[in-house]
Amino acid sequence: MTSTARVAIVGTGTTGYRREQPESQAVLAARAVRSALADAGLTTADVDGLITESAVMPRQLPGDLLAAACGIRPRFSAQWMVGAGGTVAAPRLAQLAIGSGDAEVVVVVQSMGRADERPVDPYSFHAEDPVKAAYEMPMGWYGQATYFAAMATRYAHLHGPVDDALAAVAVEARARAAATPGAQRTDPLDRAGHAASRMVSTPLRSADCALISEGATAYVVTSLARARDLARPVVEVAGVGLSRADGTQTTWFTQRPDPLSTGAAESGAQAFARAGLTPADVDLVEAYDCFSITPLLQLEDLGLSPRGEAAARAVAGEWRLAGRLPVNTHGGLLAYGFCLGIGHLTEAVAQLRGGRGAGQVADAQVALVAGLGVPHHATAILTRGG
Amino acid sequence: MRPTDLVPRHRPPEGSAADPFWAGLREHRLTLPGCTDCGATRWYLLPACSACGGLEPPRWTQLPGTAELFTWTRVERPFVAAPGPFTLGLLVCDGAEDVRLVAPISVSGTPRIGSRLTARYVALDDHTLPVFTDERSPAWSS
Repeated sequence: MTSTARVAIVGTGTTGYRREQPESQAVLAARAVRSALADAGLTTADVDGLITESAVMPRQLPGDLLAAACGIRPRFSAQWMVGAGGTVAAPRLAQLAIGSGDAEVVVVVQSMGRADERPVDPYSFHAEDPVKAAYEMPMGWYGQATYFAAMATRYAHLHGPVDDALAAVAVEARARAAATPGAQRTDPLDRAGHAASRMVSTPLRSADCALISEGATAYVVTSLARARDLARPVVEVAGVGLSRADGTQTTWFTQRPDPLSTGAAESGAQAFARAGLTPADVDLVEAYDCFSITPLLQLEDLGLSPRGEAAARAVAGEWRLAGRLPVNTHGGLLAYGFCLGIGHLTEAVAQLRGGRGAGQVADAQVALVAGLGVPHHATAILTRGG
Repeated sequence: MRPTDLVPRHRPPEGSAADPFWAGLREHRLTLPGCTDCGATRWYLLPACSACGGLEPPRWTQLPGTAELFTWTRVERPFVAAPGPFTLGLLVCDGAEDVRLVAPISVSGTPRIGSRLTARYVALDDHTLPVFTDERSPAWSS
């Protein structure tokens, strides 16, 4: 039998998100890291581990430059998994490093922004894939909205109309962002505003699409024992699950066997088993929402909604802050800011600490964070206390 | 509406593993690569066959050009060069039911998942695209 170190998230920090920031990606990352360490009551000298996701950030900001910008000299330095798969799964890698003695204090950071005058651009990352360039772009299959729109069309074919559900998700996201410090889109959105927003790729409108953002967020992981001596309320990493890769970044969208499954069924089951919890124990969910259809697919995979019913339940208000199971209580990628899932994780920490004011979920004890990474998925379950 | 109004204008790269696919379309043939070891369709053409791990060069096979519509979207805001909006299908081609092909579609009315479509070919300056149509596609009805 193997034992795993018990670890906690002891600090979070962010620059907040805007369409454009005056500072570069590296400086934003450094500010987020300093903010997270100050929140934890630690300094850069305490940090000996540094984790980022592997696909997006290192393209512009290699790990050694990142560490130097942040003033960190990591012993344990890693870039792993893709996008939100990496930012949501990072507590697991930190847990392994802390358990083995390779690190004591691990910082996880994600930064979106300019590097060397190159603007932030969520599409070019995909255009650099030679497979996509050879088979898909000439056909017009390009831009993430197109891929998720085709999933939404298929979902509607199998389970009934989705337009009202997409609107419900987008409208609630904007309302939640309005009650979240640092959020990018806080102007109100109602059903009419959603219906009037520009159609991008049917059935997805611009209000159904993630923002384009600049900003950075970081969090700090250390042992549960050390966490109990630090300033902030303890939030334990109860269990993290990882799904197996389903193809590649490109084939995932068109060729995976079930185009309405995200890998969350597998990562979720592992996370629940490790945490010793079940879907019925979850008080709130932060689910990757690159498009308004995406959290609905993950809720079904995770067993938090019956298959084919997440859309109808969105229309009924079940996923709202006031509903049965609040989802994306900070507004997510749709309204808070596009940050590859790290904002979902730090929002879960904020909810479990309490003190989210008008955005607080009452008596939040167990939070589930769902990170769609493509071609894999990570689920993290966090709990108050420990 | 002319067939060329229905399709984007993004050139495929030259010198990639996909060259035979585009060369076939130029001759109005829909061809896909198959694994020479196990026979599975290799789409997209990655370094190894995803079914058996085979590493040998693929065998390209001509398909009949008929397909069933699996899902679709109308791209109102294209992110590649295009004369205007277009409709894309994700298709299961007869003769290669183990993979799905993305391609423009043109049908009368709202596309229906499960409907049967047939490839026609639209020549552009540098390459040829397949467009999957029904019998009453507005671009070919006149």
